Amino acid sequence: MWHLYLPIAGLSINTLEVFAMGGFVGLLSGIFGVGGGFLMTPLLIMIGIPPTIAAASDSNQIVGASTSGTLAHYRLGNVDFKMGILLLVGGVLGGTLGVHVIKILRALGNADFLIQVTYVLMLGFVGAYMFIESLQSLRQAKVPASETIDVNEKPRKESMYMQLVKKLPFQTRFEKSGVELSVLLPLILGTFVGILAAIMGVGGGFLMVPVMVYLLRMPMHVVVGTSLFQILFTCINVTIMQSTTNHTVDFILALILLIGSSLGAQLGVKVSKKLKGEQLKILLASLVLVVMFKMLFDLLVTPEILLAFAGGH
Amino acid sequence: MKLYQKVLTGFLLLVFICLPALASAAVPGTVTVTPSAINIGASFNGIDLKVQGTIPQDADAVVRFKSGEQDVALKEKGKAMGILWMNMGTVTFHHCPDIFMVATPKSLTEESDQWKGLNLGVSSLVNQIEITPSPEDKNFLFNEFVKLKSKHGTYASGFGKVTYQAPTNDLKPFSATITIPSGLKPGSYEAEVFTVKDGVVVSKTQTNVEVDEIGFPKFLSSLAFGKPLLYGIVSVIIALAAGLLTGLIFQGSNEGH
Repeated sequence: MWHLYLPIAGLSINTLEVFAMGGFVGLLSGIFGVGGGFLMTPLLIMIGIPPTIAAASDSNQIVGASTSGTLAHYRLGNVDFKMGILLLVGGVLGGTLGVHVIKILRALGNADFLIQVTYVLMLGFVGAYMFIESLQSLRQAKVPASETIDVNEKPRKESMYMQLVKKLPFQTRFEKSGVELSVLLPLILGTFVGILAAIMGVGGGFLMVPVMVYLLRMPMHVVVGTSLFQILFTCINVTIMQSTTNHTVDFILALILLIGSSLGAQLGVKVSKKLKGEQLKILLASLVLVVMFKMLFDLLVTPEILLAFAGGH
Repeated sequence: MKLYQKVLTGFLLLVFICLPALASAAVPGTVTVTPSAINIGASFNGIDLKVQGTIPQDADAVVRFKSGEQDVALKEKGKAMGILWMNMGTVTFHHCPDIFMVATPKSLTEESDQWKGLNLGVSSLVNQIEITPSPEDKNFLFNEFVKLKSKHGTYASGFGKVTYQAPTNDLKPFSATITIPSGLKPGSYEAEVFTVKDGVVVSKTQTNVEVDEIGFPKFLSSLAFGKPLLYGIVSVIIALAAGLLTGLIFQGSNEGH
């Protein structure tokens, strides 16, 4: 009695199960400012949804979850619209470029190998870096005087990067984030994330968050809100593109997911508010590492069936 | 009433009484399929298809439910650079039914020589399916294909799913229930009944089963394929509205405290 038929996916699903999945991923989205596509798509494939439909319907779902999340973070003063729009413009540029990069890679052959390896390495690098860095910060907060070497090392590294950043033209102040940067920096970084995200076929939230934290020096809570704002627009674009070119958006599936995820996102924002920036970073880092190990495992272990339906990651 | 009239009436009555029995004796494959057509509505969750009929007492019935043939492109997994498992290339399976379900009586088990000799099961598809590009080991790839389809419930073998009732007039009624998964695409399907005697198919009956989308699913798929831009925009707007609504509801509850 809890079943509903999905006309585009062409099969029925248990409404409660899908609702719960939406709630869980929405919770993570509200806490960390990621879209959660890297978790949701595999979950949907697991319950039998064809990969292409899982990915496209998930984008539609994220539109709902990120609206809900952005609104909640906006009320807490956590959305830097100026920064968000600049990153978004860069992201759209990067996404368009990325699609062409994929074409070139495919023409060269071995594209899938490169993409998969890049994906795993990127997850591993980002996860490990965030994990170690936030662990050190947490320790420093507890024993401020003991780790003098780290304290000495850090400003030196920072100044090299910051020197370069300060030389860029069009310096401007970002009020919400409390930083002064060149307009070009978020544009360039947004483009970079956009290219990588398009190549890997993901939304890129898990890349954008560390970029904002470490390269744009934004406070973690503003990062989460701004990231959600940016993801909202990316996913609107993807939903319409997928509907018109591939007919892969299953609206019923997206609707059940998004009712769950927009509720989850609201709860997530509350959880996020209670946690410190460093705690948020270390939790997100752990999540990224878990996904990395799962992917690595899938790549190394002989699959149960040596054939698969096309599409997906 | 004269005597010859009485005899004639009696004779005609006898003929009328016996006629149905004679008819079914002449055509052993009187088959009924319930439901005779399948409608996919909003709450469709697969369906149990009941196939019933009569066969000669000393015969067996094998029931199949299958779709028309089509081509399917699949990703073949392999080891890239000798270490990592990933999708390597695309292989196309030609002339394979999307749905293929078989039910047999208890006497025809998966391992029995008689069943293998009949060539009616899922494994018989290996002869009609062609794979391009031509693989080194067709049987291996075919078996992987069957594994994939079985995992999704679209290929299935129900050994012992055909049951018999007590025979009358040398005819025994059979019945089989085939559980059809929800991943059934609209189109024409066939319910087939094979009468098997001494390891040979002696007759075959085909019943057409039409599968259609109705109601909301039909409306939604026609919109998605007919007016994709509108469909995409509406999907986005509803998602935005749902997100905003949740946000507003939660704002209300926050202010309440």
